[in-house]
Amino acid sequence: MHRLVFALVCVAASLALASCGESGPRTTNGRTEIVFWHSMGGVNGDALQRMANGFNASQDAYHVRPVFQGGFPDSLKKLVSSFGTDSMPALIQLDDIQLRFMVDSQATVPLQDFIDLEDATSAAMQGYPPAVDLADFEPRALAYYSLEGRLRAMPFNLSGPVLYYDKDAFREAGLDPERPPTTFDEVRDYSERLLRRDQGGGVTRNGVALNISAWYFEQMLAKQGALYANNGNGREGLATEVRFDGAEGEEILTWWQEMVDSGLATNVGQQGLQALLSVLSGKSAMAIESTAAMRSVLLALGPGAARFGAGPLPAPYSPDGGIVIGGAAAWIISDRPDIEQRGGWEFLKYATRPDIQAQWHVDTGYFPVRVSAWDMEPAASLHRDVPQFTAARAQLLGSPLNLVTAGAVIGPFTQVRESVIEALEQVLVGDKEPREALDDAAADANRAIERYNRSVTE
Amino acid sequence: MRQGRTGANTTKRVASALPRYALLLLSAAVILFPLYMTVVDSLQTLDKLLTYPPDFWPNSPQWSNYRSAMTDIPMPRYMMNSLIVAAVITLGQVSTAALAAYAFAFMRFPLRTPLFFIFLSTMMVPWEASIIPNFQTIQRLDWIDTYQGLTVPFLATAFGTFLLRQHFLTLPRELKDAADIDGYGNLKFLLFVVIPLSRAALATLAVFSFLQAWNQYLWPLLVTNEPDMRTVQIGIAALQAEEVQRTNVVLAGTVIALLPMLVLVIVFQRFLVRGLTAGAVKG
Repeated sequence: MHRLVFALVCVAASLALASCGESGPRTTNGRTEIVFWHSMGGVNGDALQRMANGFNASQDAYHVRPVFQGGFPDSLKKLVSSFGTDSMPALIQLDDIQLRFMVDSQATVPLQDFIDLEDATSAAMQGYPPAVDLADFEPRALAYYSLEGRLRAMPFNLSGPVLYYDKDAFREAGLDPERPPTTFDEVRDYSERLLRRDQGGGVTRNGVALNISAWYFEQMLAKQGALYANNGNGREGLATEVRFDGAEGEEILTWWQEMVDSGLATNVGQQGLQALLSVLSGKSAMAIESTAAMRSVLLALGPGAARFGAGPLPAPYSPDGGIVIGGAAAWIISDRPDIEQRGGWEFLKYATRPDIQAQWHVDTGYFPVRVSAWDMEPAASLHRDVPQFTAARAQLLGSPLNLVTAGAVIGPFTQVRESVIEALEQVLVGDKEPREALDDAAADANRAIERYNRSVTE
Repeated sequence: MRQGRTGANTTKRVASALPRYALLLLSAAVILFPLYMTVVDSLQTLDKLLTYPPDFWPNSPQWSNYRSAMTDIPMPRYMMNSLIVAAVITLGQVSTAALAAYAFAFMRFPLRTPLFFIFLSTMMVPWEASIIPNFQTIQRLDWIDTYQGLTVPFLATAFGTFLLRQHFLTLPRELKDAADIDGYGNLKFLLFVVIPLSRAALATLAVFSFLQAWNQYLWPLLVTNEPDMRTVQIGIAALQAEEVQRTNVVLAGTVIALLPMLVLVIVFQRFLVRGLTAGAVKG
């Protein structure tokens, strides 16, 4: 928490200094250089570099230079400590939950400003093509990154949670391999039939592998149609309290606890991907994991991947809600000279072109930002190789557009997530009952929110 | 010494040492197992890594993982940067710590003890608390993407000063008196008497400094943007994606980054053990 207050003090202090830090735009070989801080390591980083190369070859005014800055928390820390200096980037990629913080930091230019400017230009000049066809953008991503009706950042990489399952295990248990469970009760029934024990009574295969993650908790709440924070998830006004401690939240924690206690589910801890690995290795029949792992894992398995299905994330009782789109967005930094900001905007327009997005989807496994990219090559081929994407897509498209699926906007989201994880852990080790753990988590979260709100409104 | 003992005595000694060695072997195995699996997994194909039960032996070693780790990121350049940075930091820490420790151990000046404790108290300030101000200083000096930015904040060490001072205090005072009579000044005494007698302690400090500098992550990440100036730990982080990707290649990179450390520790091992225990009794 202190870090945050400190960060905001830094922001305020450095904004005052900002004017003296100005040192003209960066240039390279006669072009304006656009420095883009990102957190895409490995294969995804290569894909991003190819995207930048493509942009650099497509025009001769700007040169985008992607710079890897470690994970999102590292990158954000570096950004905050660079406020007011000339080492700020023109673009930065940050994870979804930084939305409120980035808006409050006033360090960025709302993306909407660029869209409005181009719309005005095309309206004034007959025949000038519209800048961006927002109608073709994934509406849930636009909803997520919009605040007060204005798009704040460009959705850059998108993902969602799914239920992976072992079709062979389903067949063996007499379950329809094309019909994964959609509610908590169904997951429990299926798990009872999928559970296998040896003679000694030890579990050789459990029903479902569950990863302790605040993100899945958020997604399950959304799937049930429940708000995570007050004031319309913090979208109709500054969120002042969390709402995850309602009946739906209790339902989720209770189910989670009962599943693990009864041995129907296995708790794989906080490490991501362990749940999916548990299914791949045959120790569990189902697992809840992100789609972000889908491409790399299933392609690595080759033909063996066919026995793994993907279905929608199960909801507590009514599968009518939807998921909140996860991932990260690219922000344009206000401290940089106008020409760099414009270059950043041009790059983001290029990056979200449908053909570029189809390639990005294939390279990284992230959902395309453009709706039309799904059916374009090479995305269409990927879906033949990894048909599991079809289910992930269906869940995304089936998610209603409302305040719940737009996702919560909370300043100190990282701390709020920490308190949710604590609650999950306490419930799973039996330290607290779901109701008590939720109440404590909500109290912690509300305190963090109150402190944050005080520090930004004063 | 051994010759004086009878054969029966030796057998007895060996027998009594057996359980101890068995325990040591077991602990060594426990500690080495993750390292072993790192090497094994760095030689597997990705789909092998995803299967259960895991293989404990690379049946078809994939050396291409190492090639990927070397070429997907500018690994040689990163290794060189890490070497330069770690060497400069080690040299700086050993020399400044030796000079400061000498002053605290052999020289008499007002407020020596309080000053020493103030010196030590800087060890209580967590690095995380000073990293942002340090970063801003480096930025203001325009030292981003430079070797001085990577090394200067680490050239002095309170821990090293403490370690060396404790060792210097174990040296007989008479040496100093003798040196005084011979007309040795402080610097001469330090260079020709104290340092030769403190090789073990100095080597210990050097290895620790080098290890620490080599393993730095956050600081080099903060003060560099150019790939040419980055160090090996950032390189490994860059091999890794947010989600699962080529774990085998990441592990290959880890093994590559580990090798210089391993060589260093093996070479200096003799000194290390002596250095750690030297001065532990008196002090």
